Order: sequence, then C-alpha cells, then structure tokens
Amino acid sequence: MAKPIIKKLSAASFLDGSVVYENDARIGGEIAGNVEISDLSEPRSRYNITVGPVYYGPDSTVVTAGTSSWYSPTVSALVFIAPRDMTVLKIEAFHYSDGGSYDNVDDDNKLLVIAETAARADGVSGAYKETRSVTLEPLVPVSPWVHLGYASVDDTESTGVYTSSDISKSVSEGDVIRVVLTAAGNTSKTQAEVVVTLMVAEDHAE
Amino acid sequence: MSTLPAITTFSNIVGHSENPTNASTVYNNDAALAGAFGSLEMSDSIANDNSPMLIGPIRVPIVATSVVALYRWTAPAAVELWELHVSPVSAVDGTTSDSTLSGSAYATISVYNAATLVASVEPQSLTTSYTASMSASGDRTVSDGAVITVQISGGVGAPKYHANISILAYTKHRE
Repeated sequence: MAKPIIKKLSAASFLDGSVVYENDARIGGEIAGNVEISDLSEPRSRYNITVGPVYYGPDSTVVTAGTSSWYSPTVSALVFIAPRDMTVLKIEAFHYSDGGSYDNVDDDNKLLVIAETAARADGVSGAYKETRSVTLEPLVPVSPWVHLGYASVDDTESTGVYTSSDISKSVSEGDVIRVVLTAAGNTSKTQAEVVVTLMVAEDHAE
Repeated sequence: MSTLPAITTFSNIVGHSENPTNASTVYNNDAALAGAFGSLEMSDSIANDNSPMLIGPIRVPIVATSVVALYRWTAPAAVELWELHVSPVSAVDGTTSDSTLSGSAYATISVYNAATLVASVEPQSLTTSYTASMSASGDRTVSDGAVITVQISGGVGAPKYHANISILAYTKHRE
C-alpha cells in the first residue's frame, strides 16, 4: 500500500477548498477498501496443524512383528504442500498412552518425530514411506529431504509424554513439508500412539 | 502501539488570532492522516483482529476414568479458548459391539489452561455431541507459548468408547 499522496498547501497559500477536498478524498479513498494487510504491522498469522493420534509401529508390509529382526519402519504422518511461503516454528509430539499392549516406548525404543522439506518435483511421490536402513542414523536426512527439526519421545508416563522443539525455518510456497515418524535407540522396536502438532506462521492472504 | 496522528484544531473564523484556519494547518492535518498509513497496527487499529482456529480434531479411546492426558499443545499466539466439542463414537477395537457409555459409565473430559481447569464435558450417550462454552470463563485467555491439556479428569464406572475432540479458539494476528 502506498501512502496517500496529497497536494501541498503552504502557509502562504490561498485556502483552496477544492484542494482540501481532494486531499481528504484521497485519504478517505485509502481507508475505503485499500488498506492492505501486508502493510499493517503484525501481518502474519500463527496456527497449529494437528495430526493424530496415529499408531506408529510394525507395518506388516515391511516387517513382521514378533520376529527378532524387525524394526519399526519410517513412515510419514503428515504430507502437504506449502500453500504460500511459511515458517515452521515448532514441532510437538504427544505420546498418548492408553495402556495398550502395543505400547513400547523407552530409551531403547525411541520415537523420533521429524519435520522435513523437499522441492515439490522430488518430494511428493516418495513422501509417505521410506525403507530406511536400520544402520542409518535416523537423524541423517535422506535426499532430497532436508531436516527442519525434530522432537524425541523416549519415555513413558501413564499421563502421556509431551515433547516439543523450536524450529523457526522457512519453507517456500510449493515445497513439500512432511512429518516423519521413525524409530531410534538400541532396539528400535518402537510402538506408540502419537499426536503430532506443527506450528507454522505465514502472511495473511495476499 | 502505533501513534495516532495528532490533529490540530482550528477555528472556522478566518484570521482567528489563536488558531487561524490557514492552508498550512489544513495541510499538516491531512499529512498527519496520510502518514498514518503504513504504520497501522493489527492489534490496535484494526477491528476484529483475531481469527478462529480449530484445534484437533483428535480421536482417542476413552477407556478409563483416572487422570489421563489425551492431548497437549502449545498456543501459537495469544489465544482465547471458546468451545470444547466432544462427540462419542461407538468404536472400540474396530467394532461397535464393545462400547460402553451411559449415565452410570462415563468419563469427564476437561480442558486445562496450564494447571487451571477451564471447561469440562461428561458425555453419557453415544448418539449425542457435547459442547462446553468457554467464552465466559475468566481463564479462557491463553498466553503465547502456554501449554493446553485435554485430559480425562474423572468419571463414573467403566466407560469404553472413542471420543472425537476438538476445541474452537480465537487467535490474535501477530508477527
């Protein structure tokens, strides 16, 4: 938004009513529907994107629970394309525990909730599942994905475990954002229900 | 807060000795008004400076009446909690035959602003949606960065069902 350009009236000027009217009309015209959001202070919104609770654990198409060799696979709980430039501010993970027998989270069976981004051309088709080598460090991103940040769930409480991590990284409009769930720890046979929350900030509508 | 333009008063009597209505005074007033554009603040100068925000929905099994947290989240900006919605669903273990919810078997589902109870509902029917207004609560205002918890905070008997839970809130625009 440009500021209204008004005509100068100096002290020695004749008080020209038409100029006064024109100046007032320009100011009024800016008020009447021409004030743009982007020119206000605080032009951005923050909000949360929530997913879950989702179950994380053995996928029978990848591993077989109950055998000694299985590890919980890497899967995405959330995939979306950034509708406009945005900043991912925080990732939150809440391990919801209802005492089910499938619950297996501790220091040897961690659940990492990782926010990643990639260019759209590379990102969508392979965004949902990844056959990651168990020997691969889970916090090393697999190309083309770039890590934004992560939260680690590695403890159990009857009342649930809440962890969060500040991120504050920018993502361009059209890029893919995903939240990956992956196992870590000595055993990496993680099973859990988790609620994932992504906090983002973006400009108000253009 | 943005500074509102200072407007000089003047008389409509030409040649008034104290506040002469001269061209430069008129111009200065207009210039002050025009100068305010670009420095208006969302929170101070604009009406309706908040947006609705739906938290959730989450769908969780309700299988206890002891204190169990169902969901925690951090307020992304200053937030006013407005309504709690809970809709029971008769689904447990993939079937509908094992659900229990009645006037003698129900859980209290509550919203906490930090450690302060804001609102609760006690669903007792699988065919009714429950709403608790938080709009009149003195504890509905959540600070930027505060943690909200939805939890089971008590109940009666042994309920067993799935709850779809969402919270309507209003969040301030902000940088």
